[in-house]
Order: sequence, then C-alpha cells, then structure tokens
Amino acid sequence: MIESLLDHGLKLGADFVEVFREESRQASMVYKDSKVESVTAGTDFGFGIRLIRGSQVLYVDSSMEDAEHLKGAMSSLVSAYGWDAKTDAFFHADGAQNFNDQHPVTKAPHLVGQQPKLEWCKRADVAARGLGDRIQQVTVGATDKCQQVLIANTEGVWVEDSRTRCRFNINATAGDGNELAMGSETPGAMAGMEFFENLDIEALAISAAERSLRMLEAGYIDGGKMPVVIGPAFGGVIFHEACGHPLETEAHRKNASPFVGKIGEAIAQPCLTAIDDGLMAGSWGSVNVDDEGMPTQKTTLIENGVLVNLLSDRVGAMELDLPRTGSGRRESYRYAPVSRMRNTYIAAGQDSFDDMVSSTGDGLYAKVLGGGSVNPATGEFNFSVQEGYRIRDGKVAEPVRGATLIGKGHEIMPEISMVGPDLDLAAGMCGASSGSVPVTVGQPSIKVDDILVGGR
Amino acid sequence: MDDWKCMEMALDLAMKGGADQADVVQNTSLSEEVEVFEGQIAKAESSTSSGVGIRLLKGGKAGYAYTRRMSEQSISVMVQDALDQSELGSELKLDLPTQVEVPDLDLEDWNEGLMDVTMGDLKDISLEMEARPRQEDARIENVPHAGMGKGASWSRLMNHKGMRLEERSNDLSGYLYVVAAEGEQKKTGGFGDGSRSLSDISVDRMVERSIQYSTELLGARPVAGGEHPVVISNRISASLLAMYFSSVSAEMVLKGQSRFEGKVGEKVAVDGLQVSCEPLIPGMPGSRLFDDEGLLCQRTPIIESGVLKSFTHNLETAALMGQQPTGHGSRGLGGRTGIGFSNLLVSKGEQSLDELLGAHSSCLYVTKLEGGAACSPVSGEISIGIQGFWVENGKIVHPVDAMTLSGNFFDMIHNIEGFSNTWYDSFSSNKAPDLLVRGMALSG
Repeated sequence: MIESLLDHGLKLGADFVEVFREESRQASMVYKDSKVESVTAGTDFGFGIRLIRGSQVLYVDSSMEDAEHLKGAMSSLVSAYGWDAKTDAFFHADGAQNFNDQHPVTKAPHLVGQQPKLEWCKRADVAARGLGDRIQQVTVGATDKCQQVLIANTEGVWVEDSRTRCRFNINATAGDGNELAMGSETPGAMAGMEFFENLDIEALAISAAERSLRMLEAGYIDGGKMPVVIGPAFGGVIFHEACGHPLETEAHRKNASPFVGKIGEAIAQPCLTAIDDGLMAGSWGSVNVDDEGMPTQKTTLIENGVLVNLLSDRVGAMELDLPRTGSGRRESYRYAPVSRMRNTYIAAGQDSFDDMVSSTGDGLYAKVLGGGSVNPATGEFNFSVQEGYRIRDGKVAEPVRGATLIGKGHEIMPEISMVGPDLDLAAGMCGASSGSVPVTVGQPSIKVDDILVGGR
Repeated sequence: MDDWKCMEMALDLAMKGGADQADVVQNTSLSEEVEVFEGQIAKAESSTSSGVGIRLLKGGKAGYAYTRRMSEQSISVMVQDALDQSELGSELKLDLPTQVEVPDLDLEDWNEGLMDVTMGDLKDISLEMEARPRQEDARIENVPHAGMGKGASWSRLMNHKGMRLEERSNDLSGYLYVVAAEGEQKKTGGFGDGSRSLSDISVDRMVERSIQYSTELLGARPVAGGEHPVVISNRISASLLAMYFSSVSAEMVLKGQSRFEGKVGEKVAVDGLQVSCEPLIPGMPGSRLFDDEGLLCQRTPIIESGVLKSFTHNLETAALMGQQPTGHGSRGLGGRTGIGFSNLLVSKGEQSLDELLGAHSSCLYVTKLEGGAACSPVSGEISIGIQGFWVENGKIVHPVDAMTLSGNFFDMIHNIEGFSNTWYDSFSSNKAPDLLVRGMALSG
C-alpha cells in the first residue's frame, strides 16, 4: 500500500513523495483530590502523505486505512493546482534502512499497564500534602505514549521507528483563604515505565509544594529594567522561545526571523555557546530519526557568540541551500513536518553563581521560569517567572511573585554576560505549525545584564 | 462498518463486559486548507479524521478509552481498555440521561453551499489577500501568514438508555498576518476571519485590518510605569475575560481552584457587569442545541448586575453539588467529560469607545496582549505583555510597547468604570465590549 501511494504521487507530477504511517498508543492517569480523577487509554492511527513540487507542499492526512480514499484525496488536491502528470514515473522500494536504537525501553508501557501509576501518584500526593493544610490541592499525572512510525519516500528512505515516552506531572496549589499560588514539577524521558521507577517522587512532590508555599508568601515585584540571573534547567525556555524558534528554517524561509542573514556573525557575547542535540540517550526531546526519516544529529547553533547553524528540515534546507540537520518534526500524521528543536541548551560556562549575584547589585533572580511565548517575526517574547527572588545589594533576598520577563530575542542575546557551570535540562512541550512535540530546554545559571521585568 | 454500527458495537461490548452504564461519542471531520507566500501556494492540505470514544461505569467506577482506527478489532480493544481502566477509576455519581426532544431550531451551523467551495476558490482568495498589503502600504515588508480553510464535522452520541443524537457544522476561515517595518522597528498585525458563507469572507476587511494593526504600532515606545487608567480594547477583552471566567466552572469549584467558590448570590463585580452563556444564538460558532452528554443547552446567566448567579455544570458536577446540570458538558474522544462554554457574552454598555478613552486626562488603550503564561484563572493573577496607545484628553499621543500590565482579575472586575457599546466583529464564541478599568499597574 505504501509503495502504491508513493507511486501515485509521482504520477500526479510530484518531484518528491513521502508517506508517514503512525499508530500510537497512549495511556494516562490523573490523580486529584487524593483520588483517581480519570484513567484513559487510546489509539491514534493514520497516514500523512506529503507531495512536493518545487517549493509547493501538498499534504493529505487521514485516519482511514484505505488506499483508494488516500489516492483520491491526493488527486483532488493536486487537480486544484494544475500540476503536469508524469504518467511514466514509477516508484519501487529498495528495502528498509536500519539504525541503532539509542533509546532502548526496558519496560514497555502496554505490557505493564496502568496499575503501578496509582501507587506513584498516591506517594506524590501524600508527600506534597505532608507540608501542611495550606497545600489545598495536589494534581498528579502519569502519562505514557508509544508512537510506532513508518516513514518512506521516493528517494529510497524506508524506516520504521518506535518512540516511547513517559512523563510525570505534579502540581501543588497553596492557599491561605485569599490568595492561591501554584508550583509544579514535570519531568519526562524517552524511556519506558522504568522512568517512573527511577524518579525520586517524594522529592519532586515536596519541591513543587514548597515552591507553591514560598510564592504564596511572596510579595509582588515592582517592574522595570534590571539585571536578571536566570536559574538552570527550565530557565532555558527563554533561549528556546526567543532564539531557538527564530533559528528554525521555517521562520527563515518566510523572512520572518530577526536572525535572517546572520550566519557567521556574532549575535551574542563569546561566553555563549548553544546546542540543539537530538542524540542524547533517553532524553525527552531526542529522536532516533526525525519525522522525515533522517538520522538525527547534534547541531551547534551558536559557538562562542557566533551564529553557525540553523535547524533545517527538507523544505527549509532546499529553499535556503543549507544542509539538513535531522530536525524535521511533527506531532502526528496530521501535520506536515517542519524544522523544530529537540534538546536545546546553552552550554556550561565557568562563571560562579555567587559572582553573578554579587555583580548584579539590585535585580531579580528568576530561579524557575514558567511558560512563555514569542513572535518569531519580531523576536518579541514574554515569559512568566514561577519562582523568583529580589536581588538586593548583591545578595538573594525576599521571594517575589507575578514577575514576567519581556524583550526581543536578538536584543537580549548580547546582554547575556555570564554563564555558569551548572547545566541542567527540563522537559517541555513545544507548539508550532507542525503541532505539539516533546522538547528539552536547558541551560546553566546565566546573567542577563538588562531586561524588562514586568511586575506590579 | 458505518459510524452508528461502530458505536452500537462498542456499547454492546461494554454492557456484555459488565458495565452498568455507558455512552459513546463519535466524530468525523474533514478540512481543506491552503497557505500562500509571495504569490505562490506554500502549502495545501486535505484532512480526514474519524474516531470513537467510550465512557463506561462498572461497579460505579468510570473508565475511558478511544480509538481513531475504526475497525472491529480496534473497537474491541478500546472497550476492553475502558473496562480495564474502570478497575482503577474512582466512583462516579452519574445517571446518564434518556433521549431528549431536541427543539426544532435552526442554529445556522450548516451551509450546504460551503461543501461546493473548492481548493481553487480558497487558493484564489488567499493569493489576492496576500498580494494586497504590500501594494497598499509600502511599510508592509512581509506577509508570512496568509491562507484560507474550509472545515466540516459530524458528531454523534449514543448511550445505553437508547439516546441517539447527531449534529453537524461547517465553516470557512481565513487569516492574514503581516510585518510592517520602519527603521529598525518591526510590528506584526493580522486578522482572522470566519464565516459560514463564502460571500461573508471579506478580503477588504482582512487587508485593511492587518495593515492597520501592524502599522499603527510603528514608533511604539514605553511610557512611565505606575498606576494608570486602562481601556482594554474589544479586540482582546473577550478572550481575556473568557480565560478567567473559567472560574465559574463547577469543576474548578469542586477542585478548590475557583475564587468564586461559595459566592453564588454575592456581589463579585461592578453593577454594570452582565455575563451569560448563550448557546442558542443562530450563526455564532459556539452555538449548540445539546451538550456532549445529550442534555439540552439553555441560556445560563453567570453574572447579573455584578452578582454571581450560577456555576456551569455537567452531569457529574451537578450530581456532586446537588444542582441541576446546565448543559455545559464538553468532551473529546478520550478522557473525562469537562465543562465548556457555548458562547460567553459580556453585555455592551452605552458609551462609545471615544467616550471611554476621554474619560480620564490620560489612559493606556491596550489593543494587543503578548503571552499569558503568568496569567492564572486560579489565583486571578494578571501579568501580561501589552501593546497599545498612550492617550491624553481622549486623543492618541503615540503607540506603546514593551510594557506589562498586572493586577488581579477578581479585583479588576470591581474596578470596571465603563463598558463600550460595541463588540469586536470577529467570528468568535466569546464577545465583550471595550472596558475602562481604573488604576491598573503598568511597568516598562
């Protein structure tokens, strides 16, 4: 069936045809109010067929396993665009390619079932609530997903891959009758159920609950421009949003990035090196092959302040005449792949945390960031600070809540003046035109000399 | 196997497997979209999706499962999954309803003529709309996003008590986002439109709005921080309010995550604030006759003259709180039934926007929100990047950017001084007028 679909696409006049077949199984448990709120399991299934001619991309997706229906949808899409048919074109598969699985799974979720999750959720709930009555609500979630894909194209790629990911979420809400504040921990990995077994569940629960209590007690920060020390791990979301997205070829091919034309130029101080690495064993944002069937790789984006690479998918690489980086990704068969990040981080440096804080004078220590967003065309970004502290007289002082960090990615990059050695990573989900994909963000502690902090 | 047969098979297997109650939802959707860039088709997509989901109760405990593979084997696996999950589930107080008599009311949610709109039509409109901004304003340097789409969906619901309901809807959508540049500064602006009629999609309007919304912010700069009166444009007020009004969901109340808990009958906002859920307005995108559990939808007053009147319920929350369900059950294929609004309307006032802008000697007129990650409907915290205009004596002085607006939503609704007499004319299920709020904190 796959071969006949590829063949049909060529005959319709495409230069390139790709079929992405997916069957995914996911199961999740949500535990709230100290009881199971929901347990669910499900199967997603479908085909995504991409036809490329020149820089035109046509995409058919369907959950129906019916070759005639899929061919009909391809034909009707092509007919609207007047491609010349190539009736003499034909496709024949040469056989499958193999690759080393970098992320072996010890305990496949579908064999283990959801029963053990109940115990893990209960342990987290008990640990968080153990911090006292001001912890008003605890929500714990444990999710697993196994995505089986087959990717074949008319250039001879024919690969099958299995991607198993597990994630644990704990959210604690603290309240004192008037105010509410929240804290969360959300680790994830490209691994089987062994991931949950290896977590220090109590420590995660206590970390989330303690943060919610600290923020409940925190006052509001007075906003303004100031130096900010941003903590490790999820602090990397700022680089992901403000610099990572504008370094995807999907933004460059539409001239919608402030970094267009800057390869080879210094866009940051020499202390900054940034990497997007798809190869990290067991990491949440890793892949064996990308969703275009290309083995993934480690891509240095910024080396000692100089922009050296973009993240490219097939179409972006073709249009911009760049090498592909194994970065074509998509949420599911329902999306055509585009260039996306994998495990993206600022590399470790040599500045100590104490030096960063003492050189700050008065400013903000954004220990844990929350979510954020960026407009890739202008570089304008906005992030929330989940756990923040004022820095006064070069020392970390009282906790503050409600702070946001605002700026433009290309203007903030040169403001990063110090980079610490304490590199750490955190799991997240990233939304863009090819859907929501698992990514890792990361960084060591960094100091930004001047950034707008929103507060009250 | 046709869709009803798949659903019957799932129900039958569930009851034979020992379920006490069960309901099954099925959804099929079709969509076609085209995106253009620099006079060429950049992407065209055709999508077909179908799936079925089951909720069952066995021994009073709930299990959920779904499949997008519509084969007998997949449906058997789905039902077994749900039966297995119910072993782990919590007790759910639920009595699924019997068949309701659906009123004979045309919500104008289906236009047969839309099914004849071709990809060629979508392409032609997209290309025209993408070309015009640069022709009409030299400051438009890029049009990164321009396209049109057509969608149709069919939803079905069936339960073990013989309920069978079906609804369908279709629509067209279009979007145009442009980048305007002047010197080093770049600003984006755009407009998304929707309709159930091809003739209602106005290319003129999308072009005018996207040019206006991008160019009007060129030259933006921050103003001094501090407390200022703020006029929140009707372009953004509805989505801002809808985010925080999720606190009226009984689900949030039961979880201890609503600041409205225990406040029904109490004053929670200024007298002028009227908020209601209006599911039966023909032509609005959120309109529906029945909810995802098969209960009839009805008008639900949320806030009247500043007094909280009601929470929104599904079957489960109504049972737990000893209230009547309000027809707000909302459910995808997989997972638990939640609560959703069907058209959330904030009533208009009598003043014009100009009157609101001139009510104080100076104010900030906010037309664009950026990010929202630091906004929480649980705590009510608002901390969000904004762009807009600095206004003195009712006249716009200059555009503003790189500032944040902060405060608490539950305080803000006590501080609304004025409501304009217009809603934003977009195809949206949330509607609110421009709002004048006294003293909100701005920093920048």
